[in-house]
Amino acid sequence: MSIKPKIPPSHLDIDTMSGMTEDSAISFTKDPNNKSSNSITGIFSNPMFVYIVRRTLVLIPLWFGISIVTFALIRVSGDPRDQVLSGRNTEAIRASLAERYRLDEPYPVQFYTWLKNFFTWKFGYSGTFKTTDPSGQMNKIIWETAKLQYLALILAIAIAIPIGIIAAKNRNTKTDYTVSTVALLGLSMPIYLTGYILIRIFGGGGLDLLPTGGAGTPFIEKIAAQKFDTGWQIFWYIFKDEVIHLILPLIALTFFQLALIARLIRSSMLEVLNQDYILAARANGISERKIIWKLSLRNAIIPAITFIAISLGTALAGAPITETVFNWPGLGLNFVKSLKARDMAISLGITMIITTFILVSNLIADILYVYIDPRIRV
Amino acid sequence: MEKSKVHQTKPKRSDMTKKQQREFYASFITRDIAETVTIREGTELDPNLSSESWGRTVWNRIQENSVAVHSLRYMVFIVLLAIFYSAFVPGSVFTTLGIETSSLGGGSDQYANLRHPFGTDSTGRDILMLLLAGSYTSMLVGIGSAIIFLIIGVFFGLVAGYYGGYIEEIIMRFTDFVLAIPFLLIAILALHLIKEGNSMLDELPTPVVILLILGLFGWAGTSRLVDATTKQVLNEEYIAAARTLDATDRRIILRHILPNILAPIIVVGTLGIATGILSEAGLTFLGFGNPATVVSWGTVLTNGTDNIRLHPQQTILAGFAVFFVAMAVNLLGDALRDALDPRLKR
Repeated sequence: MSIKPKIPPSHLDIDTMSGMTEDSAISFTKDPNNKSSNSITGIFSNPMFVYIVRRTLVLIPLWFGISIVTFALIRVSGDPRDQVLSGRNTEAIRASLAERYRLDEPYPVQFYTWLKNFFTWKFGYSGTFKTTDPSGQMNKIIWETAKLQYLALILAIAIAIPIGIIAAKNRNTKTDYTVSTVALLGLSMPIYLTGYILIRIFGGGGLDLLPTGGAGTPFIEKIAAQKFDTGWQIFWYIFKDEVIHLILPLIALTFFQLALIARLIRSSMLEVLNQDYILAARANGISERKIIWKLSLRNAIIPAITFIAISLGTALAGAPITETVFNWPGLGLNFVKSLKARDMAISLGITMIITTFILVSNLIADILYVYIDPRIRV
Repeated sequence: MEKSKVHQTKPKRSDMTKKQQREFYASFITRDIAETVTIREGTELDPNLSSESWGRTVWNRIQENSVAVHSLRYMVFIVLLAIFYSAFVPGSVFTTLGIETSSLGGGSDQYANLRHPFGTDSTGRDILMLLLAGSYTSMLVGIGSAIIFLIIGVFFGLVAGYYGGYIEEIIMRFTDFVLAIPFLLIAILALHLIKEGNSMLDELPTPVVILLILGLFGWAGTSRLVDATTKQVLNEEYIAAARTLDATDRRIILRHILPNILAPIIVVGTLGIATGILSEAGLTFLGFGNPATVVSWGTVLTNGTDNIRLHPQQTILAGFAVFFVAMAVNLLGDALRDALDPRLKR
């Protein structure tokens, strides 16, 4: 076994520094036949490629299964006409609405129509957006949710990895306890509590510094156009407005995500630091900084990366509560609204968009898991 | 490494005939018995040799951890409160205070005062009493959903891990399916369906419906965990020994595997209580959970959000009730994870 102070660029060489046993050394020696990917048969015999294709194919029945379950749940939950009509309940209106919602057709046909609409990004008639083609609004709400959730995720990663490492490095010191406490608070504090405390402190009634709801001031484009002439100034004005609206929800979400990632990094870092190869590296006189940031981190970060990949999807699924607290016009808030208004097209569309995100992020996690850690055999 | 040594000395099970296996493991067993007999016949016993039971070891380790003791005490307090809350809450929690009851003009939306330490809500109900009484619903949902998802998850995980083959394939693909469902969205949908639609489940009280839904959609992670740990345990010698002695599958699963994979299950179950309580409050907050007629921490919180600007304490106090229990459960889960970890044996 040899400790290389410099990490070779290829991901396959991580193991020359990590798994020291003979057993694991054998497991990641690849069959030379598999490496030849010059011909087409080479690609197909590549286990990684086969693995990715297999995982992708598994997703398709899963997607359809979930879409059928969701469709059944939404369709059975009630007649969308009841909510719209509320009083003006004449036969003529009912019939015309049935035509608009395609309620007279048998369920499989309705499902097929919905499916076709979903794949052509049309969704069908929406009561909450009052249009037959809500694709523009859908794009907008997807953008708003993705912007908020992924910015929070990026911020959380940027903060959590250093503090997780520092906590593990200084185990059982005050630093460690502080990090653990913050992580525990973030984990246990429901987002409605964090959110309302933040709103109370920074919003109107408190310091009155920041807006507490919405993704931007209504009609901001018009206001900006009245105030400024040049395009750059208008853009800057709108951008500032968006950033100000982002701050509070971003803090609340980051606090939660950060807790999960920091705990994960801390525990896996502790495990790695106890390994023999770190002891060997120390014995060889490699600097502590290199041991922590290069030798250990490469291994300790593996569980965190898979977790983050999964979070790309699950973060969106947790959106309803956050978005209700901050009145954020994204997928979650619109899901709640559309369900209360029995707007089938939107609630079904949002569920399936989020499901797609979750499935794809699970796929990414599976692939990354094998790709980062060659000790795991495909 | 130790692991490779074990592999060298132990012949592979598949290489041996059934008879050879039986003799191989029987040799261990007879040796063990022989050792036991010699100890028994010996005149003196080393007092350090007396082994503690597993439960006693874990209990001692928890007691060493003061944080764990405090969170356990808090949990016991809340559970007792949930059972016996009617002794602390005089009369009905729905008693509202009319205008004549307060010299400050109106009994509703009071700030904290000596008569109502947490103030009153928008309909004039004492918030402290509501929170005391609400512990029942919240703990019912938390503990109930944890029990349900543990039963389903452990059952599927054990069966999949033990039998392997196509049974495992089917169960794990189904687990993947449940795991890929956006949990909160489907919970909202299902609650919406049950409460709005005309299904038979209408007559169940809402907390029970919530705990059923949380349990029925929340087991997939546990099932995956139990499947993985079962497969680890299956390679152990005592399972092979039990098989050689013709133990039934049921006996092996219940007597040999289950006790040995109990540690992660207990931790997951404990953390599941927190998830249940948080989800109940979250679903109620979104307007799909408990109706205002049910007293729970979620409904107190949701009522408060209507006048959050003027009376934020109504929401925030209920939020803290949820938060403290979630924190106690998380602390307890961490402590249990440490206490149950055999690698940390001192």
